[in-house]
Amino acid sequence: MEIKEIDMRGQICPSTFITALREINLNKNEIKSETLKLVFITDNRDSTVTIPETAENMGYGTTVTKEEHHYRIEIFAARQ
Amino acid sequence: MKSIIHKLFGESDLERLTSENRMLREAQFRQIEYIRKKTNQLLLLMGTLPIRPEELDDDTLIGIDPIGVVAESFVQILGHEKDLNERLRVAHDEIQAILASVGIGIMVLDSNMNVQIYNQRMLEMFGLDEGRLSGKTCCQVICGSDSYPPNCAFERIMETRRPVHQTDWVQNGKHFEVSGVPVKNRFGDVTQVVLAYTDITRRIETERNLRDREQMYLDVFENAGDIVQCVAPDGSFIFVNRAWREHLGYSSDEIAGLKIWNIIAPENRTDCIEHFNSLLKGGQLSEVETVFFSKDCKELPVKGHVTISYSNGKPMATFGMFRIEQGDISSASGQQS
Repeated sequence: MEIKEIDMRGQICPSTFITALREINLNKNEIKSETLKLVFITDNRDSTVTIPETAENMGYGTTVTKEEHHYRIEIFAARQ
Repeated sequence: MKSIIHKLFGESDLERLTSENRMLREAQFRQIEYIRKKTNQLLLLMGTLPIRPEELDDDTLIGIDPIGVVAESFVQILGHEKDLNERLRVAHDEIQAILASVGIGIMVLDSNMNVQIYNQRMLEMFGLDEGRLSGKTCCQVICGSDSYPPNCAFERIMETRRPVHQTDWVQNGKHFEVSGVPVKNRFGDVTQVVLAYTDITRRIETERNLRDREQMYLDVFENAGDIVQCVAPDGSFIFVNRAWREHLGYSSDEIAGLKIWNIIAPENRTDCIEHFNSLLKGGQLSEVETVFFSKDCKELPVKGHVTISYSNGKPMATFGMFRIEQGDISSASGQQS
């Protein structure tokens, strides 16, 4: 599976949110067919709530992990 | 520059162009404001913050088309909701089919004890009309009361937040086995209670009849003049009757520690053990003749029959009835005919 990493460090919500939604929309077919996983790197804490919550409402699976100086949000095809 | 423009267009054209330019800028400002306002409405709906002007300048705002981005996300959200609704509908139909097919009454109550869901068996079990359940509590519907009955499963579940099982709950002369399970939300609060009722009235009656019949047989054997004994495969006594106790002289407490070979005369013991083991292995015994040995060491020649009963294919107990023969030298022999 291909992994596309988008570094959004320095951006704050809702700019990060719109960026993430745009990337998800652009890659929806690849994500749903499990050929692509999106990884957002952000240092904005609000984004760790808004992005996963909306992505899950859109039917995707998400994980959020805290790394040393940033957060890693993964968006992938949800298991049925 | 101004003089060049004056020469090219003239004074009136310049004023017109300036006015048109101002109008265009005002129109663009209104459009930008509209886009920001609508974008912020959508973002608020998505649960995030509005866009600050310093975050996205006007050109970037138009460039990234936030309304388009959010609108497309909404299309996916609605599509996902549609899928979820379809899956919920299928799950609902499956649950309804399960509820309809099981032979037990099932009822789902909310945390205020109001009836939410029930199956057909529940209506049949308690003789309820479907219309009577709407907006009523379980107490009102099942118990005909506004307060909790004694041993109310719902009350106990709400108190303990744990599943409850009642082996014999009686209502209107009928017996029920009741199992209740709490349904909790993510905070651990009980939001619903699922109660399952099994009508065990017939089973209870059957068990009572069996117990009555068992007692009747026990009375018959207890009062029989013959010696009656019921022996477990390990040789211990399950039951002995009064004649047995009187002839052999053991008290009930002593019988608990006895084995069958303890009451057989020493010279008959080996044969008796062989017969007993043969019987346990499926052998048949016609008439049995042996000599019992009482507590006070008196010999009692007996003749009788021994049968064996099985449970799940395994020997459960031997049942013997004996009559004291001539040569009885026990003190109780005079009671025998």
